[in-house]
Amino acid sequence: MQTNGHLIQLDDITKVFLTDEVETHALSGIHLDILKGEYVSIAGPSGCGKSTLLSILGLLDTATAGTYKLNNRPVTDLNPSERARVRNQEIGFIFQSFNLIGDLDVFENVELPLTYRGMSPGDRKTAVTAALERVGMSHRARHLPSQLSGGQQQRVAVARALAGKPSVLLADEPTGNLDSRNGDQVMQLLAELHADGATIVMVTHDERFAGHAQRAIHLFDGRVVEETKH
Amino acid sequence: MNDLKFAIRQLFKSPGFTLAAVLTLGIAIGVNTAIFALVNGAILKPIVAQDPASIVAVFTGRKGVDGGYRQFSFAEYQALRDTKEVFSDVCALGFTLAGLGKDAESQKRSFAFYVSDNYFSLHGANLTLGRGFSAAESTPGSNLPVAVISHAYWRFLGGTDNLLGSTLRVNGDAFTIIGVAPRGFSGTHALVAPDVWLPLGIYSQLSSQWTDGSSDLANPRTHALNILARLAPGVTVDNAKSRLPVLDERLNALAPPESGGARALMVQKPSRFNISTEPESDDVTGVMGIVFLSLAAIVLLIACLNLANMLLARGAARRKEIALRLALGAGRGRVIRQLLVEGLVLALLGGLVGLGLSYWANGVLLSSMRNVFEAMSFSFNLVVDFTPDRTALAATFAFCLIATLIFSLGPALNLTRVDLANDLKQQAGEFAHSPSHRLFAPRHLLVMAQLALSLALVFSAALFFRGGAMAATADPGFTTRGGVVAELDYSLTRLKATDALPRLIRLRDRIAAMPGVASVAVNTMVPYINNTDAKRILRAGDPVDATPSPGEKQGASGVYHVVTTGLFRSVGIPILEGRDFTPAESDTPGAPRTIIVDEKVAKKLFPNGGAIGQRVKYLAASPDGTRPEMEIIGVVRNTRHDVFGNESHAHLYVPLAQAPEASVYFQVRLANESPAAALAFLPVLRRELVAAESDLPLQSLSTFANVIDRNFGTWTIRAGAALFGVFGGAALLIAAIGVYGVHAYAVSRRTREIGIRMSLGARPADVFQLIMGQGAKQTAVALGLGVLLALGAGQLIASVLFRVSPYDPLALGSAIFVLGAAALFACFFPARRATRVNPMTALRSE
Amino acid sequence: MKPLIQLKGIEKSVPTKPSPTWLLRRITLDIEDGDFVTIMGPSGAGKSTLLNILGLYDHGWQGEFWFDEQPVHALKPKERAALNKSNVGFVFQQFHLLDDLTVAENLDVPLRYRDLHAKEREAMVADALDRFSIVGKKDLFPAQLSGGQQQLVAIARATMAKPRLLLADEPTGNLHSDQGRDIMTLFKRLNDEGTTVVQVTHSDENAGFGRRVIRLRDGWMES
Repeated sequence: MQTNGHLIQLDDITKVFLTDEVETHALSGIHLDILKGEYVSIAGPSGCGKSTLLSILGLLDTATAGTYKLNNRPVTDLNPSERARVRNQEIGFIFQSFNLIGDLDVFENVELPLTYRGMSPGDRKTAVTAALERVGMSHRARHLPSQLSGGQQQRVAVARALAGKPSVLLADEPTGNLDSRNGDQVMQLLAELHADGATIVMVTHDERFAGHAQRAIHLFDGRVVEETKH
Repeated sequence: MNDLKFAIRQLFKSPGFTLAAVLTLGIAIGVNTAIFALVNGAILKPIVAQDPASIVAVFTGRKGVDGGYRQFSFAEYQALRDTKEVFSDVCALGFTLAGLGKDAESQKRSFAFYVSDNYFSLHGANLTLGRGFSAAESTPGSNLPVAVISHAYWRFLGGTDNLLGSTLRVNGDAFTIIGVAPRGFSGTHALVAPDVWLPLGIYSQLSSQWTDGSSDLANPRTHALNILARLAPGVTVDNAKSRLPVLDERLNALAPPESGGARALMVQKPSRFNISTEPESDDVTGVMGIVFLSLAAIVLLIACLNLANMLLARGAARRKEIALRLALGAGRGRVIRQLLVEGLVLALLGGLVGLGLSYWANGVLLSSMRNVFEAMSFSFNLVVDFTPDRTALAATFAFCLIATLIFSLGPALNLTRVDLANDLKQQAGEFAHSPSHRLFAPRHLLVMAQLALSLALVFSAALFFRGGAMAATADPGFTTRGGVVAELDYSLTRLKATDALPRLIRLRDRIAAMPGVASVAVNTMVPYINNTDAKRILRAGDPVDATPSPGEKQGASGVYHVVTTGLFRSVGIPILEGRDFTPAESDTPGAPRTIIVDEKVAKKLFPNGGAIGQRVKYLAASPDGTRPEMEIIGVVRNTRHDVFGNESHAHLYVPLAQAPEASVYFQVRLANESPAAALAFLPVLRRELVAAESDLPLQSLSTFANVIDRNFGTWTIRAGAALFGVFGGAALLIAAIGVYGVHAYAVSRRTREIGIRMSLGARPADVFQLIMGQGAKQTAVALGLGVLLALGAGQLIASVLFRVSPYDPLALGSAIFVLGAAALFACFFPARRATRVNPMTALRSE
Repeated sequence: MKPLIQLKGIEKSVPTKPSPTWLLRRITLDIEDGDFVTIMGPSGAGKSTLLNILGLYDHGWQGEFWFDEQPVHALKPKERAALNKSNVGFVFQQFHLLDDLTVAENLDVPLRYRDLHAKEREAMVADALDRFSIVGKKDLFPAQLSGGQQQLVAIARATMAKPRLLLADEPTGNLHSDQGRDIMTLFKRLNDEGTTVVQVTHSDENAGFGRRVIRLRDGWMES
């Protein structure tokens, strides 16, 4: 097995939530390898641990035990600042509820991750313009999120995830707040990005959308119970 | 489990919040209670125990003319007392100063009232001990030496029953104590009371030494009485006026033949602050009271608004709990009630702290006032009580309720106006605000204004501290080292000034012979004493302007000192030219007339120098119309007479024998100049003086340093520093809590945004900066504004403070530093909390 | 007998630019007294919105809604709240217990808003603790319980007032499967005892506990 093709390697990842006296095992011993350019979906009933897994993949949360290598680099023991740096450079998030910042216009929202990277204003403008072009939203660059429909907001969110050229896109129920037509458009966009070489990990419990992925992983009670190749 | 129990549990759960809230409320309510207690004590609380509304002051003015008021004659008083149409009772009173003491040694100059026999009964005052005056004792010329003493003076004398019947010396004469007034009894005055009340019958005897003219009360031309009356049942101040003309006629019929014109009576509610021959209104004080209460109310309002922000911030975290309660069937009213109960518990805790603070603050104020009154030239009782009483307690409770409504009703209404479906999912709404709106929203502007105001207050406090420090270190031109001051007033023993002279000389020589005494002299005007007496001199050859021009006055004016030889050595004033008075000049009547001036006077009169040997005279003629000439024999260094003002006073010194005075100070300088030595010398000196003269009218004895310390100006500077310091500190604290509140609220509203930023790679430092940056910008704007305000305040303060620059960079710098540090510190906590936002929770959208 | 709930042409939209977003379209539905209905469908299909309308929490809709022969569409908000208070219990995915209250106090909360005597309330709480076998946990705080236990307490609380209609929004969504099964069994028991139950779920297994399934898609009822 060639390791340099691996983008994500999870080894025996366990997540336990501790509240006063009760331990809840959200994830128990997850092994998962994701190759560069792969399109993986994670499915499972509510409470199976998919969101927790996505948070750990996105370095928003840390595992209780186990190792996580991103681009062959262990990221399990990084401090908050280092984790923020990795998030900024390697990961693009797409959320169910879009999570655009209401006070910033479309351009500024897409620009934000680049700002945290310390990129020069000129480079930022180029990158933001390209990303908005890619999702077909460049004509709304100076609009506030509240002036956009849900489908448009999600496209802006995708542009924001893309702008920093991350190693992987993490999508958490990206169509959950959209009607079928807009949902289909966003899925189409993700499929195109994948065709262009992007690595995508998507949480969904919609079987139809899981079908877009090359590989579907099913979680149940914090464990991987099934993998399907498409 | 009831609302109260839950409220208390909630408060214990977040002790930091509770502490900040209770402290804010405590300060705000404390300010209100303290000021209410002040206003209540000075303006509102009834002074007369029994039916205060029916007591009036009676005045007599010229009929048909505005003004022309005078006191009443005894005959007029009697006539009024005999009428029953308007007044049910009428009493007469007047006041004077008298030397008061059990013996000569303990004698002090005191405020004394002479009153009619019904004085106490008219006020409804039940004497603590003994009796009031009889009709016989109040009859003019009866000269029965009896006295009623104040409760405080009775306590001062030992407070025992056997003081009744014992002897009290009034101006050296023996009086029998026949009664003790009720505790705190002051007649109709709100602030002060006399130590002693004497019967009208001894008026002539008492006043003979003060007035050379007619002092017989029986004389219808002696107008020496003020009149207080109790209105007859059913008569009010307003309807009394229509009935007064009848009384006018009766009084006018009594008037001696050549009195000028008819007079008219007037009645008015007695002033709480004055005993006057003409009607005076307390309106000014009332207005001041309203102003202070309004200021206090603003403090409470601001504190409450700040607190409301904190509650909103907390509310964001509790939105879910509240939505849930509503979902479980609670009516909105129920939930609002629960939130109000939580607020009330906070407010009551704050009220408790506030009550403690106000007790403390008003206690400090009173003792400080007492201290400065002690330095006045006569004594009286401070009867006003600023400590919160039951009325003030009720007011405090009212403040708590008002505060609760202001700070918790808004958030409660806001929090219960919920969209159930959304809040249970914890989807914070997205806010579309421009960055400038975020920075300058009304709640932010309010906090910024508070910061600006606090800066001005803190800067003012700093200026006062600087002023105090400068006044303390500034060279006044003399020295207090090793100095002791003893005050004697022979006028209280009815000794004429010329007769006191040999005694003073003898005492001075006796003190000079005491071991350890380096120098001693008589002086009538000790530096920094709280009064001034000035005279104006001009060159002997210059004619006196018959019609002085209003602007420039003739000659030179100086603080007038009557002294003996050795004064300059005793207080360390260098003689620049010429010489001191010789013992012959200062001690012997009839010696050639001489004068010593300070450099300021010398320069004014003789700009080209050569003052020594020149002759000068007073601008004001002596009683006999002459202006005797004096020769300048010395020029001494200029000294300060007060801490205020940039310009020091000029000074004149004349020998005691040339202008004898009965009321003087001995200024002693010890060889050992340590403060401890001066203190230790006080009892030694007292023994020596008492041994010298058994009926010595010693009024005060203290170290020179202590006299300076009790200077009214020094007190004002200290009080200013304390007042601005306390208010500045309180304002600073409230403002800091305000800053904390708005940013905590901002962070709670931006939790989701912060989560998004973190997911996009914002480091903890970036998030921290996001919140701190906003705080820093606001602080900078607020401080910029505050500097303008502070410089304005500085102009005012510098105009009264000695040698303080209105731009004092040290004071301004430190005030800005303190304010900026406090604001950023307050911002630090919300900013740190922002870095701990859990992006997972913030972004969860199920 | 008329059904407990009758919906006729219920519609709901939220104002968005440029055109409003429809959450529910022309929902017509009868639910008999004693039924156990499962609502299924993808995210965003309108399941929760429908549940909130059934629970009388939501007011911004059009159409006709009869609850126990009362015209909900014609009631004032206060009257709807009263109807809700006496007839509806709600169970949430996130349990939504009050963190600052003990188990017993949590059970007491809905009773406190009903003007009952303290003694009566005490008896009812004790009764519920018995019925759901959580007497031993009565003084614990929610944070000291497992998810399954918390949901058990939440259901106990929802049934304190003996509601005729029990609504549940993904009640097992935050639970492990075995805990979830226990909870569903409990719903079944309550339904057998006569309570009408409506649940929203993604799980076919959970749907199996109910009597019938309604599917939603983009706000429309399927089938």
